[in-house]
Amino acid sequence: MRSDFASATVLTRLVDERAGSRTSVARLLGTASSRLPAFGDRVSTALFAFAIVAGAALRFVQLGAVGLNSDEAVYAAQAASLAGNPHFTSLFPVVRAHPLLFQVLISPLYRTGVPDVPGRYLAAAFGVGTVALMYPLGRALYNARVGALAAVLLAVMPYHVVVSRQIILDGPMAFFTTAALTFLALAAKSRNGRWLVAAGAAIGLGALCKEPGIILLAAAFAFLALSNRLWRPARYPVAGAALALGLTLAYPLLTAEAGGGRGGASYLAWQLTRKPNHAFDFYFTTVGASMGAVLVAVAGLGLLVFAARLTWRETLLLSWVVVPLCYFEVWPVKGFSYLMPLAPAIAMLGAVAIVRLGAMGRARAVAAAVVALGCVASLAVPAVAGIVTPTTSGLAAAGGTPGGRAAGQWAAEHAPAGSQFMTIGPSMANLIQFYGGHRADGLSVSPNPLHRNPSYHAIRNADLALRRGEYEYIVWDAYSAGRSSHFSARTMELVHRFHGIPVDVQRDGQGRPLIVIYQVTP
Amino acid sequence: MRAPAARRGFAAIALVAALLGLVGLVAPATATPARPEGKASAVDHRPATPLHHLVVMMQSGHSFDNYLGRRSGDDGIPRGVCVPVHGGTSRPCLRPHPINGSPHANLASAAASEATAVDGGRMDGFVRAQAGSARGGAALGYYPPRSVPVLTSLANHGEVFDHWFAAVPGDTIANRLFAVTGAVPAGDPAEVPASGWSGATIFDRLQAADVAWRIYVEDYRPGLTLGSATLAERRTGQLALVPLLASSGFRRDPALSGHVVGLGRYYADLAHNRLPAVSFVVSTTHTERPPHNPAVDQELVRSVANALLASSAWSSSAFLLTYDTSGGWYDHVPPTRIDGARTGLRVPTILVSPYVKPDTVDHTTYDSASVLGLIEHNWRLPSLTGRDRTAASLLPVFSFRTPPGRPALIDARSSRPPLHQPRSLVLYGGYLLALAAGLGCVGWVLWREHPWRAAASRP
Repeated sequence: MRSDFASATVLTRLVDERAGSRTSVARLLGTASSRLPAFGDRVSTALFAFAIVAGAALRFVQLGAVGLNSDEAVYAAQAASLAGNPHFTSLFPVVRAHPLLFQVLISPLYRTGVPDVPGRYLAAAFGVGTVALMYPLGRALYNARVGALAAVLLAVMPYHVVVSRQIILDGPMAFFTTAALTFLALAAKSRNGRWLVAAGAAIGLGALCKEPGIILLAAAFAFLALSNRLWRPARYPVAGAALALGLTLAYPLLTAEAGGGRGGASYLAWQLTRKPNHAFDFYFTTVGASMGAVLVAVAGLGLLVFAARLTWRETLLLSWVVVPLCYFEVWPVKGFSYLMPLAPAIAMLGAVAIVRLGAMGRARAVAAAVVALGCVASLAVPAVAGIVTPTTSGLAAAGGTPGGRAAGQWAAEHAPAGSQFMTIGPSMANLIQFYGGHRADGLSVSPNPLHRNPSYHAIRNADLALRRGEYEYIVWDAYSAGRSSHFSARTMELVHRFHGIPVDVQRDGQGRPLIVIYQVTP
Repeated sequence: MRAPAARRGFAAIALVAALLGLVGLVAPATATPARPEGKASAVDHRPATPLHHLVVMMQSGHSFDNYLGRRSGDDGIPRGVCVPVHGGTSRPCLRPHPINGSPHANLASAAASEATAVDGGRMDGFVRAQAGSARGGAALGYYPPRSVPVLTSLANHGEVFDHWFAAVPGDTIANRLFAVTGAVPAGDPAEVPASGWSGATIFDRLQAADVAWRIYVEDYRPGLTLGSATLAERRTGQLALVPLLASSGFRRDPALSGHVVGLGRYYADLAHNRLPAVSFVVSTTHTERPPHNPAVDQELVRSVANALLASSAWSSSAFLLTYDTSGGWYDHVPPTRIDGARTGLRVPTILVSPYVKPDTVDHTTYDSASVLGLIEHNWRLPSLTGRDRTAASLLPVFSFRTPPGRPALIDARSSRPPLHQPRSLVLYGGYLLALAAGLGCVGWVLWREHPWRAAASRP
């Protein structure tokens, strides 16, 4: 009993390391090793190694099994257009809704041909990088074991796995914002404001991947205000904020300087006037479930059960969760991938809850181990299932689009040059354009400029356009049909009216049609 | 036992072909058509070239100069030409003028009018030939390339024949009949005779050789037959435009009726990879015949051509667009004589195929007998008459050595304006600079706060 109690005390002390007992991270790390960055105990090291291996496996295996989804196609095509790839330059504008840092980085991979997967490798690398950052973040906040366990939880989290496997901007943004979170933790732990400069730079880079990353600057200041730390000397928080804002401002300035200012302004107007695309509870149900209901529950219960031990650490993590969550709830447009920066903080809160439970005696250590295993299992099973059986939900950024690549390649191989495609919505149009190299327009795109993505072309009179022979093919797809039965019915009405003949059908595993391409004649 | 029967069948074909070739004309008669009995043949009727499909579309009523006279590279309207209004004097005269849309003129195009227009080869009677019209000068109108975008695009995709003549100096019915029989009818019939046509057609040859063929008719009415047709329906419409429908052989042989189908079937056949070897596409509404607006009617040509281009059959196909008569429009080249017979005026004709070099002009003299000759040569069929036997061959136009290229749509239309892309150099430079600045700041802090450096600086 005594030894158990002693070990539990050690663990507890490690977890709730008092501020000021070790006043700088340099001293903390320096005591562990004089030459190499310190690792914790063997269990932590093993856990961390497992996290990296599992995280890499889940993010890189079968990366090209399913073709790109609409968002991925847009970002990859932006990169290709930027690189001057002739397949894309006439179809996809470089300047669209978001900054271009990630697209600039992947653009060399898209200079020729129609490659789709290369960008996913860089996105997956950012995902593994975020998993790796959990370890220093955990060490800075608590200890090595918390960091390693948080890394494992994030490595197998289905939400993080799914988003990291796609060419979308939220993964790289989350990498930089997680780096900023780590620098903030180091700043708070060491009471050294210089880390705030690094945090500001990381937030700025995150915002250059995707502009909502700048919201984390508000989260950082919320933390500074709530914890009442690091305000002095004032030059560091000011410099950090200036860096974050300065880097973010590079986006509109570069867009304007490059000659794409008008398109950028149109996007801002459109974003501000868009109608909500998901219900208020979307983040709590769909995204929450993907982050892992067990993990979220453990993290929440941990905060309640160990409320007496709440310190600046939890304040920092909660600021990192609550501020962006409030912002995205208020913002009318909701996206599956928008909460990526929150995932590391939630994994960290879950990990610390489990480690704290384990530090309360042998029986509870066993319970903590069971909870930890349960958490990991509840996350890993759907994560693996998502890779083995890709989703066909059609939810944006929730995975690739089965059948999309094959349909686009059919268009590339069979449709003569100059053919145009009419689709139910712009998502399938993006895929036809990306893989097929043919112009495609969505029937559901609104003729009102305030209600449509400025990059999309509205078909003002589909009957007339078809009668004039502007479109040679009409594409029906189950994903878009699921979103809008009205436009699905309208599409099929046009197919019948213009003597549509199915020339290509992509089916799911059960033989149900996913995508049907009809050839139409006036 | 089969071989002698086959030989007899072939002998019958040869005998009938020889007789028709000697006679050289098809008159309204009740004689038995020259379709040989039995399908067995010792001759291999597989395509002699990589050309497995031929689609022929014949429109109505435009001369070469009227449609392609201002297209660069063609033998078009001569500079400074002025056509006298009256006979015997060069003044006053009218110059060819650009027109657009519907010509608002139903020009006289019968053999007599054409003879007046040609005026013994002087080509100065086109205004006089339309004397019955309120606007005789309308015959001098021509369509600039931008007014006929489909035809212009088709010409840019294929080979233009600028010495392709209407086979018969007459109107639609005579030329349509020649196009499938190779024989010149007596006179210039204004309507299909009530007794119908007799004589062998290219379809008899194809049928006998078991080569797949089909006639796709726009707005086809299977119930409209020669027996039930009114006089007006024998002058225009499907009976006038599809001689087979008015042939005695068609009425007697139910098997032939399955080969004449609606135009919708053409698209279905293409989509399902069932395009026959030889296809004739006949428009009955969008004929382009004045006063129709060519830009509107050519939408059908575009649709027919693009459907073929988009199909899997394209890599082994050829699409030939031609016109039956000049429609009374001005053309500066006098009619010629082919095999001793006088032709009509030049008509626009374009051949598009993956084996034909795009945007080229052929100055050889042709008429629609060359199409019959191409079919007969490619599928190894006996000739119908002397005209198709001696017609200039179209095969030299094709080049089968190079593999077929990727097709491009005729008159492709973009639904949106071209994209304006920003300067990529600015974006590359700016974002990489920003990345370097951000990473530089992080690196500076890490270097300043590095544990080893901090440990080293500690006393």
